[in-house]
Amino acid sequence: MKNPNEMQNKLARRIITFLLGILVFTTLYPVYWLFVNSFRHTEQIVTGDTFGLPNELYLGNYYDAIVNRGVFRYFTNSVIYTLVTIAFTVVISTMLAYALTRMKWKYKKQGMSIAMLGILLPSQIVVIPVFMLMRTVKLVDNPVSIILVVSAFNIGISTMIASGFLKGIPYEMEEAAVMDGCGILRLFFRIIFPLLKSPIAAMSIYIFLNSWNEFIYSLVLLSSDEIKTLPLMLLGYSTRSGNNFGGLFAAMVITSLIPILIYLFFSKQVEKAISASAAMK
Amino acid sequence: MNRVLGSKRNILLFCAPAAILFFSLVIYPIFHIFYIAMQKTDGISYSEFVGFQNYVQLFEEGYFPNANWKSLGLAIFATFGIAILGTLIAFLTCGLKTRIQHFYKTSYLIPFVLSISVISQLWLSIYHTEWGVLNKLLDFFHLSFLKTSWLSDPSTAMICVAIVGMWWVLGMTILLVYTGIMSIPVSYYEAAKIDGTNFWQTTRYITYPLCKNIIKTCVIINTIGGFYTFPQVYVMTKGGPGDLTMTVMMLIYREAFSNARLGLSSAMAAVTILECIVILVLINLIFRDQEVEY
Repeated sequence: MKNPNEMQNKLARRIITFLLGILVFTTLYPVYWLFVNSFRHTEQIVTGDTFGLPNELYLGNYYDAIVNRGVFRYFTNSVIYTLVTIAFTVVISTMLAYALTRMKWKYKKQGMSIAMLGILLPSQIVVIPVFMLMRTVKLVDNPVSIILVVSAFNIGISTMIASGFLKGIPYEMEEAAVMDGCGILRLFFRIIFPLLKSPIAAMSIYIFLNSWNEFIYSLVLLSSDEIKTLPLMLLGYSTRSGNNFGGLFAAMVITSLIPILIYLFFSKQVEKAISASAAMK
Repeated sequence: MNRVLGSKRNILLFCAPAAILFFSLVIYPIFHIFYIAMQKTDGISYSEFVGFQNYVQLFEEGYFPNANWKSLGLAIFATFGIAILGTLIAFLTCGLKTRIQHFYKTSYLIPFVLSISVISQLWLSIYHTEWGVLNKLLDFFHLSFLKTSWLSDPSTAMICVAIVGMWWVLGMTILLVYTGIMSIPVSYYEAAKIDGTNFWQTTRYITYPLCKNIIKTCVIINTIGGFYTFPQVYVMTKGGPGDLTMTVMMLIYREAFSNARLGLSSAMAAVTILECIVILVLINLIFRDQEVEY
């Protein structure tokens, strides 16, 4: 499709293309540098030529990260927490969305506004009371805490995304199901839930990014080394392993690999999920 | 139908899990902050009701006003350097050839999918005095006299922290505005083209007015986000040199979790919540004249 809003003035367009190209370069170059440095020996990082390609594909950094530092364990932790958070949040917030859009009761509107309120709140501001609450229920230093916190902060957005979609479904299906004597749980999980594929994909991506990259609550709530996540593992990596910057770069690449792959393969969906979530604010 | 969808038991069953979690971890903590702020407590062994004494102490000690100014500075930087600049970039990107547009748009967003922990570590290396890419770049262009230890030099530390946040979320802002522009019906642009308008005119009279709402959203997200800057500071400078890059969130974290003064830091959090409400009201006032129809 031809872009109807294209700049007609060729010279102006070329200048803008060039200037924005510089911006793209400054966006991509640090990421490129990160990947390249993960294949360089620390000595080469510190003394060698920063700009060129590495003269050999040095894999010692990955060895250091995986074997000496046990990155695999943090990786597993991150994967498990993220998957559980996504599954849990998707189920409870689609249920809430269903109750708020399809069921018949008085305070639906108010319920929706309260959920909206949660989207506006920057999550880090309540770190102290949440920490105190987690200590009262003895969940500090327990992975359950971080799963609950990240879920709670994604309920608002997920509910909004799901309810926008639910409003468009015709009532006939539910009517037919109820006629056949279908209970509410079967009605929801067998008939409604499978229809929600696209909003569930959007919110899963959004929750994935939030959960995988979660920083401040993990920092406060997870203190034992065995249950830490990838972003926490990076803290103090280089000092612990005797200024092994190469290993640090390898660990950073391992931390970023899944989000980057997801973005490269599903860039349309990721963009949709991020802009849909912001449109709700 | 109503028997199933109107039954109190079913409604409760569907609302309860999310509602309980949401109230106990999002809504209740907001109010709890104001309650903790009235106590002198380390959160474990003792707590004593002191009324508004924490608020008085907050302003007497001087840490908080300092951090507050730093955070407000970051918020203003984020408003202009991220929200407004991102909007302009999105507008300009729309004037490019379609294929370049798609490539640029995809590239902008890459930093946003990375963990802020990775980003901070990465920029810590970029700013590194001896082997950071920034100083090497200056060497390369024979500008070695500009070289400095970016994060410990008082004159550059703050702007360096701000730039990391910008690198992180600028792409998200561009994407939001870009999506907003793409949702404007193409027919408007075609009609404008028949009238013989150029790119700058369509941007001024069609794109900008129809994107005002999304721009407002971007300003809100970025201003509040900039105000609560935390991970970059925690990873890169821990508030130093001195207290030069100490933001409110970093100070709240330090007072609560290193100095065990939970009452005092809750009072800080309470003050920042009120400040944010003021900021929100201001932004809404600025963007007041809304609703354009064509």
